[in-house]
Amino acid sequence: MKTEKQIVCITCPQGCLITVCGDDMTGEIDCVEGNSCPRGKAYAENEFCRPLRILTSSVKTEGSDVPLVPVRTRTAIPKELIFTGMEVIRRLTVKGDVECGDVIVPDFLGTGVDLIASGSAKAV
Amino acid sequence: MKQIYDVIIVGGGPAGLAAAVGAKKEGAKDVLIVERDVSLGGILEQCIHPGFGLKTFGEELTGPEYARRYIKEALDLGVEYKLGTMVLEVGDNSVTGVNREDGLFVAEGKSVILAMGCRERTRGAIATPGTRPAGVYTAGAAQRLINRQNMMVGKTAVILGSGDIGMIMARRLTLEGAKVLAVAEIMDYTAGLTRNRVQCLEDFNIPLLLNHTVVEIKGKQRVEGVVIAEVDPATKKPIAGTEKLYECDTLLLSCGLIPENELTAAAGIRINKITNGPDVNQFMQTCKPSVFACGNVVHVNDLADNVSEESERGGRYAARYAMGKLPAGKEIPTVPEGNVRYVCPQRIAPDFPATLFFRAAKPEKGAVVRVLADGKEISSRKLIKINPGEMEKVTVKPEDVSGAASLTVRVD
Repeated sequence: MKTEKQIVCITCPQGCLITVCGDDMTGEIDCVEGNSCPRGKAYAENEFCRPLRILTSSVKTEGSDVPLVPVRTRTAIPKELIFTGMEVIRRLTVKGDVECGDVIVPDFLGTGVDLIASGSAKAV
Repeated sequence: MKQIYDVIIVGGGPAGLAAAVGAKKEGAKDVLIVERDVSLGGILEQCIHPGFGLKTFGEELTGPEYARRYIKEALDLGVEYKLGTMVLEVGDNSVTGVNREDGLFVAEGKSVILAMGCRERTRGAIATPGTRPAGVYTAGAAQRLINRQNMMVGKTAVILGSGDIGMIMARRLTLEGAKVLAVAEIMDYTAGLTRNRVQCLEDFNIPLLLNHTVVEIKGKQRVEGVVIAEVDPATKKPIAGTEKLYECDTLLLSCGLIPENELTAAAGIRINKITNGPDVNQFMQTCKPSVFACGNVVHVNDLADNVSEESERGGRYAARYAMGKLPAGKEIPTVPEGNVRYVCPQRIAPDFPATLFFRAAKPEKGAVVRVLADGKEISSRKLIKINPGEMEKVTVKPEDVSGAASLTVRVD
């Protein structure tokens, strides 16, 4: 359906108010206005019909010096998968040494995006 | 441990790490960081959300990832550090600390950098009435418990204050299965960044109550609820009859940050009444020439990237001072006027370029920022919007300032 959406860009702290018009069913975009950089344009186009977010949380450790290791999706995943993702993360446990950048779950939720460690732990 | 260092840095968070990197790059030989926590990185270690590094590295990192880049760089450059060490006293050229290995020690430094960061305003500091049950946390304390120590703080929460950490914790609690009933903000605008209002509150349909505050905390052993009332926008006093009970077991406070300056004050360094941090010049030099300060201990920043940039600069000048390459010279004050709450640095050496950071007192659209030397305009710029939660800056050149007795930053 042809529509117009006002989107606050979350790419950087500037928070530009961007207007996008187009068809939110087909994803066809007619105009993007109000962005002050190309990242903002890309963000607004995605946000118009397919909002994406980086998911960050933490997973339990076993035999490590710290109780938790922070994790993130390497890049953004569809916003509607956030809570499904949390259900998976809640049940994960990592063991011993973990390095920042280690892949914890490859192809997380079939998104093609890896869940990676964003911090480290040492085996004890 | 060496007897004499070129630069000693108090605090190993984003400010201290970047200052150490800056000092080393400028040529300081022996640089020591003294940190009270069990690891370097400071508060970044518990900030597991993304949003760091866009300016510095051109990519979106989480706090621990951002910290690791600086930790690696500092260690690669040969910066020494002591963990689990409390600094008790800062002198013009010394730091007195205590830890388990060294006991009480005095380390001498040709220059000293204060990088202690800030702490959160507590319930006592904002004087919220009611009983004193368990379940009242500052947002940052809850963040540490949940993100580093694997302890959940509650099941149903209300958040008082719309600072960035409060909004980020609203999302974090929601992701971890808790219900966040509302974020109450006494002002008529959010204290934190717009992007956090969108991605932390609106994404999860968490109500934001502007012009509202908590007027009572209920519960004996544990929080059983809080009463929220609307406030008069002019007086900030609660309006009778608007009270509403929110049944919850947890209250998080995100009501502002205060630079942590007990050491600074005890060292006899002049503290600014508005920023609650030491007065500095563009070299991040306090009123004591051998003592520098950078990051949130000087003024609370919105972004770690800004802290890093400012601190790397402070580190470089502290190194120059240690090597005898930062001569003392004439300084002139910077003055906030109109819709400007403060300007940092509070004074500048007019013969050197300077970037003046400033914060608005209230939100404004289509404002004009002007810089005046002795009342004469030297630059002006139009801003689409200005917001107290988002720091602004202007740069001044020595040729524009020369001969002036003061510099004014004005927003109308």
